[in-house]
Amino acid sequence: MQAPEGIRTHYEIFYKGFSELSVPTIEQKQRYANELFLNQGITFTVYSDNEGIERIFPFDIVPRIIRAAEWEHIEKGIKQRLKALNLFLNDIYGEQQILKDNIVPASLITSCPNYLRETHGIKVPHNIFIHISGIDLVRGKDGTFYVLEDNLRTPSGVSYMLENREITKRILPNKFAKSNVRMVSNYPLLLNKTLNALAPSQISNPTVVLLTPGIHNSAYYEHTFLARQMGIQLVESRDLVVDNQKVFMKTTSGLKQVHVIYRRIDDDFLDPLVFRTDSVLGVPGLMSAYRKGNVALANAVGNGVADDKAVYAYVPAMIKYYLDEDPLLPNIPTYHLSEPAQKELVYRDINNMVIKETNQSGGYGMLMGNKATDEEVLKIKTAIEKNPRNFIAQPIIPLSTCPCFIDGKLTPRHIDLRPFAIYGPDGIEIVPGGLTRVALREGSLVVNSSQGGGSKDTWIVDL
Amino acid sequence: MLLLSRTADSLYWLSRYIYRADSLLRSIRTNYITYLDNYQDELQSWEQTLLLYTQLSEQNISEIKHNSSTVIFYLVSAQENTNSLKTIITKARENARGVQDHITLEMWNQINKVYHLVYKEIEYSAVSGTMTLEQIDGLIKEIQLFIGLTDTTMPRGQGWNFLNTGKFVERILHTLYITGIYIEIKNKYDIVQAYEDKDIMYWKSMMLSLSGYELFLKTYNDGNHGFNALQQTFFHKNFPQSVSYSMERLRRNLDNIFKQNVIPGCDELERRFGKLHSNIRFSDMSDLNKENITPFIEKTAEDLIEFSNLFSKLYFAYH
Repeated sequence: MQAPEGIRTHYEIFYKGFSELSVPTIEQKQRYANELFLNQGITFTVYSDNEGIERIFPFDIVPRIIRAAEWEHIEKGIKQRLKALNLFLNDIYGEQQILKDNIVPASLITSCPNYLRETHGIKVPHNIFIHISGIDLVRGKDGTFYVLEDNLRTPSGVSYMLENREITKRILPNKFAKSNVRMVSNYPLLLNKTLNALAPSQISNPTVVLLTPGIHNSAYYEHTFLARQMGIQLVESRDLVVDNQKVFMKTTSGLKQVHVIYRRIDDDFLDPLVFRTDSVLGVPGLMSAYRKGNVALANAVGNGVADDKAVYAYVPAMIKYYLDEDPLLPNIPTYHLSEPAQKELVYRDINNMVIKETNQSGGYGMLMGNKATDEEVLKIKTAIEKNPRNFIAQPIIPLSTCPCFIDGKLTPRHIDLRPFAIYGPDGIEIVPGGLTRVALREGSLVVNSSQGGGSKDTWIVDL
Repeated sequence: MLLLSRTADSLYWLSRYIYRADSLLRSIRTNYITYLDNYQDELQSWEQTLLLYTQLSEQNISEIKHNSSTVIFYLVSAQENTNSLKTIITKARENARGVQDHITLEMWNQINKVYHLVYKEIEYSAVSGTMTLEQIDGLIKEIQLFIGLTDTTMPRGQGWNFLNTGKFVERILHTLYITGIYIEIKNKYDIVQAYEDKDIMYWKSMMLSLSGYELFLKTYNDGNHGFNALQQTFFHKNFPQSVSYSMERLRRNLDNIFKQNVIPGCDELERRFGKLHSNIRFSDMSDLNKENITPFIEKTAEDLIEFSNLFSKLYFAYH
């Protein structure tokens, strides 16, 4: 918000109005916002002493504001990245030319737990694998936006983006109206249009459903939110059955064929006949219907190989290889701990590194070198030695900050940004904004909700 | 629009639990006020409510039936009570949560509000023995608001029919059970049988719990309070809690369901309900006497439960 020369231009309108509010008024608005979140059930459950306690994902009422010109760059960069990643998935589950040309090491792919041989040869509609994605960005000291990670499987958080906006409209209506903020509310409509387009071409009025693991899933609110906003059925695995390689849902009027499934279940659990046999979240026979082309799945099966944290380091090379372009959004330097030289370098400088497990997310399986105890370092080194392919390291980036209203005053906290993209037959669309996550603990760089993070509305403003 | 079997199941149980919570609170309210009046009568106790909403033994009930704060704690939040208010509201919300895309946002927000009210305030008051009439009334109003929002915002499609089916099944069973228990207690402690009873204070308590006391006063003035109370709860055509009224409303919803979901087995289900409905529709107090009234209640409840089980098997068979 504040530059050395004063308040940044794009924050001026907001700041002028906000600074006129008294602290009790702001606190009252914050309380009102929290109450709205709670009463709408926009909560996640924390388990303690076998009892579930519902918590809201903390919301900070001060928006993060990004200039439209900056946004154009982000948007172009994400589109470029997704095109390359989608081509990579088509290639890796097809000819594997990128491996033959030694751009990406074959050993990296074959050792990736999310690379699914079962997906080979499946023709996905319109050659699109990544229908829905969330790309995590952070801003470094120099103002550059870096890609922190790609979420190409079942990214969540879009409902918070939409709800944060609705709450902002309620609590800061005048400031919002005056700020010329670009709209995000059409996301569900865009998503619905894309999902419908995935149905087999001969179906004029396809049945699209959202498959959820159920009410105990931490993102369940989002599943219900999206189903409601799109007007589609929210189904659980027990609502579906496969017969003659077609998927049906069980209704009070009998079985009804399903053509498109927006699934919010990981690959491993989708079909117990093909993947994990102990899965009760999946639908037996689903993969056979998918392979036959009788049902489309969004996202496609097998995307995990493209958002693996070790494969991430090769995305700039993929962009060059498939598109012959330089990446518009740079990666954060990434070290593979399976490479002895890189591992040595990381061990020497571990205090300035963050170590991540390649198949974990949500802030789990992560060690911040500057905060870790000797014991924690020793523990992770032992794990690395056991399976180095499972780990990568990156230098700790001092994330940019944004003012938050905490304890009655504006105070800086570290943030990231997750814009959400939809990839359909007509191209890639990204709603202007995304979910800004905040590390609410002073000095913390971890923004995940499970680790004390919160969120705020993200405004893209036309100046 | 098609309705998932699981969704139909959840809507059915959502309304059953909401109605159950509402009737439990009304019983608590009635007894709470009775005890404030310091009205001394062996028959006026929490016994009926405890029999209706808990699984306590006769011995346990007799130990606590005059202790309001212990009873309220047990009815509201005791972990071992599977029918406590806390459990009922949690189940209602769980069902609503599973069908959020089929109920309106207003309904979802309201059930959440009720849930948080119970968990944050009501439970604390019940545990600490500081429950006030204002709190009970406040919660009844919030539940009524949910019912009102349902009525004004819920689309009149398939979901509405299943929601209402649950409501009327629960309502009929509740009316049958509460009446049965009042008869049982009366007959147990008093030499005057329920059917012939003239003690208005006893039946007032039941009618207040059923929100039917005003209608009772307006309708009857011959002093045969036991007989009249039973007539109102079974056969009054305009009393929303009566078995007769609720059965008629249930029939309308079921007619819609049968028409819109023609699947093998629905003819048999329709026939069974027809018998049950006719049995109430073509009966009146002249068919009942002090000997057959309890078997009549038991048989009607038994038939309705059997019908409800068959209905569930046919329409909610997603397991």
